[in-house]
Amino acid sequence: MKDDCNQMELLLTEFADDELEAADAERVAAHVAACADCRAELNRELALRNALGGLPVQVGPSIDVPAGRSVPRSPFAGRRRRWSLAGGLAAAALAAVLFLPTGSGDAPTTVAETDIDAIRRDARTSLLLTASILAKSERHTVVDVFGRQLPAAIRGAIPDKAVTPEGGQG
Amino acid sequence: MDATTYTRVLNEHRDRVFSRALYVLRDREDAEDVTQEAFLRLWRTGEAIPADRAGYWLQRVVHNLCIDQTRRRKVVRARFGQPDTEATDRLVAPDSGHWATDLDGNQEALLNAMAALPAETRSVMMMHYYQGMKLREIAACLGKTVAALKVQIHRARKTLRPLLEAQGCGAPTARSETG
Repeated sequence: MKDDCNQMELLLTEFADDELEAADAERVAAHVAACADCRAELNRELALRNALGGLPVQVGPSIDVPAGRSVPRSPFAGRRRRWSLAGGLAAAALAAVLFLPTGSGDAPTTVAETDIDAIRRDARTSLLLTASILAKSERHTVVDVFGRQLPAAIRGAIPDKAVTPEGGQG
Repeated sequence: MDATTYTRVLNEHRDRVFSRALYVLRDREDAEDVTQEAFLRLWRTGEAIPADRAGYWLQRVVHNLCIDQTRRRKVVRARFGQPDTEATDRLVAPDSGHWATDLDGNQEALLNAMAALPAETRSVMMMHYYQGMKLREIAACLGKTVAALKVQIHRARKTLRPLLEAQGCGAPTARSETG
């Protein structure tokens, strides 16, 4: 009986869809009439259908319709602008962190070592702030920026606690 | 596909595509991204797609995009260690604990329980139950067999059952059995 139930349960979706051949449909109907477990399973199937089928339709985002046959303006254009600004900030901060001379000897004589250290700290803070903004605003693309375009040496310069504030796997 | 046809397909499918992505991903921004990307791809490859097949084509693309988006989210979470609370809460109205959409109790419980299913299975479930596609249509759309889909949905139902009962939503069964 249990094997029969397992077979029947697999047919219930199509049975509810009215997609079974007549002979199979009759077999399932007869079984369901006699088997409380399968009747319950069929009821669950119908309830699932009613609940999910009745979910409200949500209004989607507005999408530009192209005027001609050319590739339409990207619907992500606005986001890309935002990214380019944030990316520019990040690049500037990175450049500051990377290319400022260290305080160990080859610093320009016109800039005091303490100033350089302060600038470096500011640049690092800016970078972390930018990274934080990026992580919050476009989480799913952050990996592209920080994972693929950022050299490992730079990535290593970002303290884990700044990028992983929740202290996760990092 | 010319602009007129594209506009018609867009108006016909946009909200359903978005809704399906929203219910699968549970994240409004992700769902918007998926919807926009799907229609962008439709336009870019539109010449090769007959207008009457655009709906099926969109279903498959949205299915794949939802899976990709879920994977990407996992990667971000793994690399940055951020719990994905924003993603799972973005549909939930602040301070209420309820979805910020017009759902009845069963629907809300069901969608919450479905979060336990893989995104691929959620997407198949939405194609079948939400969009009303027959198994053979989904099979043709996704390149699967009907038998595989039957097993997948059957397993999903079994996974959902204890979760719904734990939330006090064995109601559909009880209602039907008594009714």
